[in-house]
Amino acid sequence: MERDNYWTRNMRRRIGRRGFLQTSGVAATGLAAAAAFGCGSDDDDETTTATATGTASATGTATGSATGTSTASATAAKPAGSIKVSVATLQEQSASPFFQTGGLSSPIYFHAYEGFFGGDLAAKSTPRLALSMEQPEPTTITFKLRPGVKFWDGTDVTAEDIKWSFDAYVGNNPPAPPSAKIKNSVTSVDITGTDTITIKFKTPVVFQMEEMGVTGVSRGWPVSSRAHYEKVGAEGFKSQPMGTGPFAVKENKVGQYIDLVANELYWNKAWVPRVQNVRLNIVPDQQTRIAQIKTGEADIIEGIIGPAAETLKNESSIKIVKTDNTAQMTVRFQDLWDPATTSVQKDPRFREAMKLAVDQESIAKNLLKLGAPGPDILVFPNSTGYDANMFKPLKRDVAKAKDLIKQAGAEGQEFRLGSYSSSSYPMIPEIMQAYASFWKEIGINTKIETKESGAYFTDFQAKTPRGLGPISFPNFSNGGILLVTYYKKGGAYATTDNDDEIQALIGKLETEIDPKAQEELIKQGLKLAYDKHYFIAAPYVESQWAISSKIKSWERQAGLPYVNSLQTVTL
Amino acid sequence: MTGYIVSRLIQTLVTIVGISVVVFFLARLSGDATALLIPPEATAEDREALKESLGLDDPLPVQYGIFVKGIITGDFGDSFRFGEPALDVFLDRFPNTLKLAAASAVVALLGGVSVGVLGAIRAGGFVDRLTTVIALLGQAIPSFLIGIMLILFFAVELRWLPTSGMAGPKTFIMPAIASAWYSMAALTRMTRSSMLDVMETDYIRLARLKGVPERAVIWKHAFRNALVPILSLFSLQIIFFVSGSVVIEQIFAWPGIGQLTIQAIFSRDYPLVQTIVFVTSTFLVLLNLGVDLLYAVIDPRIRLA
Repeated sequence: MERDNYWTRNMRRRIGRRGFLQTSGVAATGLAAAAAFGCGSDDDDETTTATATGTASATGTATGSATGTSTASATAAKPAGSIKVSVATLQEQSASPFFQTGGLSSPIYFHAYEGFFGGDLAAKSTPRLALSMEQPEPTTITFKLRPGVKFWDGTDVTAEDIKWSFDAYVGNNPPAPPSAKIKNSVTSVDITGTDTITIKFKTPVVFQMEEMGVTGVSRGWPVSSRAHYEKVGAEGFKSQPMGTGPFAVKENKVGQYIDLVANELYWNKAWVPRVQNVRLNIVPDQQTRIAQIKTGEADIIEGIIGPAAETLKNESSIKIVKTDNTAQMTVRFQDLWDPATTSVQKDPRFREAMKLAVDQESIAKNLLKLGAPGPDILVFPNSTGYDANMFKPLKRDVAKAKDLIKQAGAEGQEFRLGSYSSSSYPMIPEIMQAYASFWKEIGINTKIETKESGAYFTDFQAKTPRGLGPISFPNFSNGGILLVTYYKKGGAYATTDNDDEIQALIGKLETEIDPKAQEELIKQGLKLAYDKHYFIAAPYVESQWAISSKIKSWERQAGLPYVNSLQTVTL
Repeated sequence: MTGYIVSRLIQTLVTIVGISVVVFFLARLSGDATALLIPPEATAEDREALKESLGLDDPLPVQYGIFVKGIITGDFGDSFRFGEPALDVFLDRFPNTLKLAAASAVVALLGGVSVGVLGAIRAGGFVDRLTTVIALLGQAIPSFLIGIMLILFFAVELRWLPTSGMAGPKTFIMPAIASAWYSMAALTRMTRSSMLDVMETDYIRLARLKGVPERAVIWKHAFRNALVPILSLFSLQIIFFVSGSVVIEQIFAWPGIGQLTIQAIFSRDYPLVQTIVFVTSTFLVLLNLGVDLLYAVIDPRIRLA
């Protein structure tokens, strides 16, 4: 009862659109990818001129449009020109809005589809198909739809389309992984007016919407056209999908490329693409992508890491651009999963020693050739609760580490050290080799066990391995979700399950709706984990792209490691 | 001959049945497919519902029975990852692999046989030593390195060829050479040694004494008799080409089954793994059968044995 009163007292104030936007940060970009994976054809004479048909009528400055770049009112020039972007993979490369499985397929999703909310370039959650939202009671959210939004074919987006899309998304077989989360959180989705949709949740809403992307920058459920689906049929829909994003899908050749074409009807005029045609080519090998940008077969290439990036620095017609802090990786003490363990990992002195033995600076400078040391904790500089003064990266101190190892009586101990390759964080196996040698210096031996990422994550989620094991994850700006996902007891990636202090704090956080109090709790939780030495960090890494001189400018979403925001490319 | 054919057909059938068993159970050893299709936070009910919808809740013998029935009816089930019939996904890529395999086979055969014969007829001379060096290099340098060097030289430096992709005859050249590189070297060595053996025989000496022109001695008498081991080796190389090279496909962004197989294994896409391995293996077993029958035609001693 007390909680109900609290909700009643605070909810309306809190969920005003502006208030909501202030409290919501980046939600789970690539959460599904992190969960599941840890995380061409060439034709220089391409002269495609296909466009989405119809007449633009939506306005980018409609009531409720969000803050940041996406709200800018602009007189958009007609899209022109073509670019070729070489990506390492698009995973299953589905053009269907209802079957995008993870971060690696997000270049399709982010350009073609939208939900109620999405991220702006600062990675802040901003309204897309929703104009505003209200929360009349703790378990109910009502979205008012943005007027004038059209599908690529010029037809209006209706509340009926949104409800139909929900059913299609959660009912898709095989399912898109994030859909299970939505399905589990939502009781019903109802049309409650010509332009309103009401969603009822199973439990009071604190993080659920962001977790599943309804209000986050990433996924949620994508909205498509029921009428179009009924017209083209289930099979036709796979190759001729329909969406509202700034680019329309023109052709999808799985395993080779996907062609996108500018959607001139896009509701936010500031984000109507300046480039008419985009081809995303699948080029798995980094050396080949580098060769492509040198020969002009690609205008943008992704995933430039390590020494390979050096080879492009002397090319006058090629520029390297970066998005900072796109991923982090930490090594966990897996013996702590067992509440009755007698492992030396229980001793904070041992854990601190393991942190102090690591030379992050050397890893960033000599091995990764990118990135910067980060604090030994799961947090990003743009996350809620991050405090640069409170969470400082530790300097390597072998003498102190040896002393702590001696105090903990851990000299000569050996641990299994897990390893895998991640799509979001580069060179994990090589970094684990380096960490093993750092730890050997302080008298701790490790036996590296490398697994394929799927198997590695299955084991990790089952909390079966013992010893030490890394986990990488893409940028997250909502510190609350970081805590709930990576620290909460029973959480698939938590290794702080048996720390009652942290668990009590997360319990409070999950019912706290005041943004300031929430931030304070997040900070406290992060501080606890930092002081108790639960994580051994590797450097924050940035994502690097090489772009040709043809590209005058390209703005990217903060923290997002995948190709994004191609609508901002100017030639 | 009929007995030989029947015997080989029975062996082939047993092999195919064996493949179906091995493929089915090996695919399942890669782990729980649903673990990668559903977030870790999903409920047990959702996991069970997903297993049921994918047919993974049945006992393994039942699943195997469904798989065998699928083989007979041509329905290999839907790919978990692509949401399309697994056979369609496979058939979308397999022709690309076959095209590259054909190009690679031509390069390997023409290159390997001609250089090998040249080395044999100039045995001990400069050309022979050069041939030996080429063969050694071919077997020592990994194909991925050859691939990257070809790209750097012909695409980046000379701009004669596109770096990668599959978009026209030009795009076949570098992947075919890189893919054929090792096989070409192996065929060179085999052709040279096989030809040298034959060239030392009495009937070749007799042919020469009888004044048969050297060209006829080499190609009509020596080469034909040296062909069986070359053909054996070549048929093995064909298997290598047809099963798709992950490395070559990766470097040249070639949309073949090599990449697809790795993707299917990593995503525990049982139907797709089963389809790729079963269809490719069966194709190769049948190809092998064809080669064995061809042996019998070339060398009657084989069928009599």
